[in-house]
Amino acid sequence: MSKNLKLMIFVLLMGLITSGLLLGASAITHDRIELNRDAKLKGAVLDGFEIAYTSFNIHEVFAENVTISEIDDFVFYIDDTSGRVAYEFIGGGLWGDIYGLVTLEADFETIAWITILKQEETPGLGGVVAERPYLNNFVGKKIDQNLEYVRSNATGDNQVDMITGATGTTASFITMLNASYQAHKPIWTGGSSLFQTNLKKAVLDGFNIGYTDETLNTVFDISVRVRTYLDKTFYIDTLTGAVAYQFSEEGYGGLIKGVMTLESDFETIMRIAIVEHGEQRGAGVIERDYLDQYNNQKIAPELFITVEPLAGATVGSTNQAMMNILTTSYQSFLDVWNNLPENEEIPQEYLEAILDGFGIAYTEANINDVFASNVTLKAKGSYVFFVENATQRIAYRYEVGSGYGGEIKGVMTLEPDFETIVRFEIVEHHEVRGAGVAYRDYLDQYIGEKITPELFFPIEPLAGATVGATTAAVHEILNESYQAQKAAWDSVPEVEELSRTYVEAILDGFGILYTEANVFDVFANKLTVKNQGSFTFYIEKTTQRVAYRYEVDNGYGGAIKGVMTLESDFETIVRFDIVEHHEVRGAGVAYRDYLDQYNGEKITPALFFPIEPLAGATVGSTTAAVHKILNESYQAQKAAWTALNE
Amino acid sequence: MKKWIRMKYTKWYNILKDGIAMNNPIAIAVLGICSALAVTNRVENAIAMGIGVTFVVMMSSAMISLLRNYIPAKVRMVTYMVVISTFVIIFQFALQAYFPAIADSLDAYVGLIITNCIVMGRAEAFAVKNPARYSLIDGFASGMGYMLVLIAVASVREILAFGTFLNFQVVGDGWINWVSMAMAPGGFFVLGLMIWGIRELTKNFEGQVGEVE
Repeated sequence: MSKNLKLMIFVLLMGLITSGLLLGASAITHDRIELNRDAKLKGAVLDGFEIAYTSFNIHEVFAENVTISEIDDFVFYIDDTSGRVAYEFIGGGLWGDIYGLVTLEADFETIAWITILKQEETPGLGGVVAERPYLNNFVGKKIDQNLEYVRSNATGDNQVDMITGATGTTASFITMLNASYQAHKPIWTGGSSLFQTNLKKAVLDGFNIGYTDETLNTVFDISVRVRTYLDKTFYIDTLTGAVAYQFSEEGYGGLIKGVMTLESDFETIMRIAIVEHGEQRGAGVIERDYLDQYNNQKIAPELFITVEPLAGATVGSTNQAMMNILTTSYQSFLDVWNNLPENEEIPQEYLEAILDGFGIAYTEANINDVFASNVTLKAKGSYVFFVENATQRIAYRYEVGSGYGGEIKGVMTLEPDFETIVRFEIVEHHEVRGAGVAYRDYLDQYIGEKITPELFFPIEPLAGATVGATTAAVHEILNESYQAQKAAWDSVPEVEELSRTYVEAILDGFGILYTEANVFDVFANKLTVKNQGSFTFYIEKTTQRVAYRYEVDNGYGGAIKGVMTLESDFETIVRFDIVEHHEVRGAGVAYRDYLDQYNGEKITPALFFPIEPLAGATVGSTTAAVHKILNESYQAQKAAWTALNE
Repeated sequence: MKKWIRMKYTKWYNILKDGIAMNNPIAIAVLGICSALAVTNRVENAIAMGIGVTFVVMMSSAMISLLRNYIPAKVRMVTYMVVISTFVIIFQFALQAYFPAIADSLDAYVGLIITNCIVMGRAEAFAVKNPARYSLIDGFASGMGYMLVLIAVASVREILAFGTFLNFQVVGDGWINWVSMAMAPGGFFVLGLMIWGIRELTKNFEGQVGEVE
């Protein structure tokens, strides 16, 4: 008993003494260790920026030269002078986590420096990953092109040598570098997710398109076409052709970020929204009362309007800054806008895949012509459909990142029912054991299957692809991309279902006679239908006169819809027809007496001619509305028409 | 000369000689082989590990020696473990606080010291039976014996595997690195050959260990 008691006491005492020792040691060293750790990170940041420091002044030097920017939990270290940016990365190595810091040049693409701050790889093998001579291999490489490792003699912009004897470490290191870059890139370029949401809202507000918090992303995807060219991004309203872009310039108190929405002429301001700003006394800059003063002003060649200065903003500084911001940003976007290619370039291999899918023969020389004459593009927001003119079969491009080995991209061709697979093509993939996925033998198994409601049918799994992982991924990809495309396709305006009212209005406009029985045949025989994006033009074969449908919701009493017929010059009004309207006192707007006054007038540059106002329409509101409608819809159609004829 | 002869009969001299040469923990006792294989691909790693082990084996031997009359036999081993771990962690703290650069290169190996049989072996074989000052000397001797062999093995391996010694280039440009030397099998070969050579030269074979004492 007393022996056991002694034992207990000894164990207790040992515990107390050793933990006392450890606590003491920790208390003495803790602050220094923290400081060292801090200094290690700061040292790595400063090394990457090539700023000299000593262990004594490191904290001061860091504070002086480096700006820390935290967005959505992501931390960026920015060199105030060179513009280099650094961020931390962490990922699983072979034995434990590898933690380090990547410094990129101001372009956010080229690696300037990498430091490993912590790793537990095999010393002398994987541990080489932390050594300077190895890390120097990464300097100057383009991380935006997805780094890859090669056995030796890395020459490419994105190639790096492997570490001898440490394939596992190299592979996971490269993967974590790529992954962390992919995670940081959108944050760096686009700002926080909150900012992204606000940006989308501002764009939709500018286009006057309704949405709720839940539908925001869907509405945005379907109604807005996002086009990026030369680093500038334009948001285009697919219906009206109005354009929005994001500006970010130095205001009086800090960066002012916002969205400018312009009419399709790229000159007239529709709406300005401020998403973020750093003004204090000029904080009123964000108020609608203030911003709305800019509406309908022409920004080109130079914005100069008398706006009510902001109350309280010192010497109108914010006000002046605002003018400068708008003009400067406009100029930079205007140049790009003027050079924006009419259609997004479709890469050669996709052109081929699409034509293959439709079974259309081509040669390398005539592929573009064959494509243009056989395929019609239909755009809905950011979705583009390729419709074969003869069979009405539909193809779309898919691009999903969820293959077993990485992204899978390709083309899906469907029957006009948008359900039955005509042909399925993979243009790009990163499968290794499942590489057979791109072979025609495998892909042809899908032909004739229905993809909706969900693709599931017994298919021969790929030989060698681990446990059908690639096969499963392919099915998932098909289903996922299909759902998104389907939603967009359903919202594409159906040309086929052109209602009789419109068919008649269009034929009337061209002065073509028809009977109730043969109206559709006459329409089909005498007219050519051409599509440009979501715009459709009806062209009379003999006279080359052009008609288009307009649909605007800003009449005095509601939406006004109808048909406008123009001479082949696309300027002179042949006939103007209103098919649907909601005017009450201005109902006379749809009478031919009234409408015929427009005949022979030129609609461009802007329709303005003395016209008899409608009797009874309040203060000419309906008349004014009609003019506005004509001009607005004309501008959008004109842009599409010009594009079509280029 | 007289002084030298007299010194040869002092206890501390014999303890030193025993730890470093006659009973070298790696070459003769074949203890601590795991860590010896792991860290001997570079000389700097070998030195850092040697210093760490020397410190820990000295401190824990001394402490166990001080406590030797109070440690109940039943929890003997556990007590050694606790004491050793404590010093390893203190050593780690000290390095991180005052020598952050060394701490970085040693980081992965410090934990390994806890499991090094030499430390435990000296505690059980010597410290628990001898006074503190001799235990301190014994710990130092064992640590040095360990470090010297490590450095010898690492010198061979680093030169063959990387063409460097303490990170300085020592071979010509035409040199082709022996990759296998950087990996564990290389350690086996070098250490095995070295132990074989030492035993052959000193005629120290199994079963004749009695001669040494």
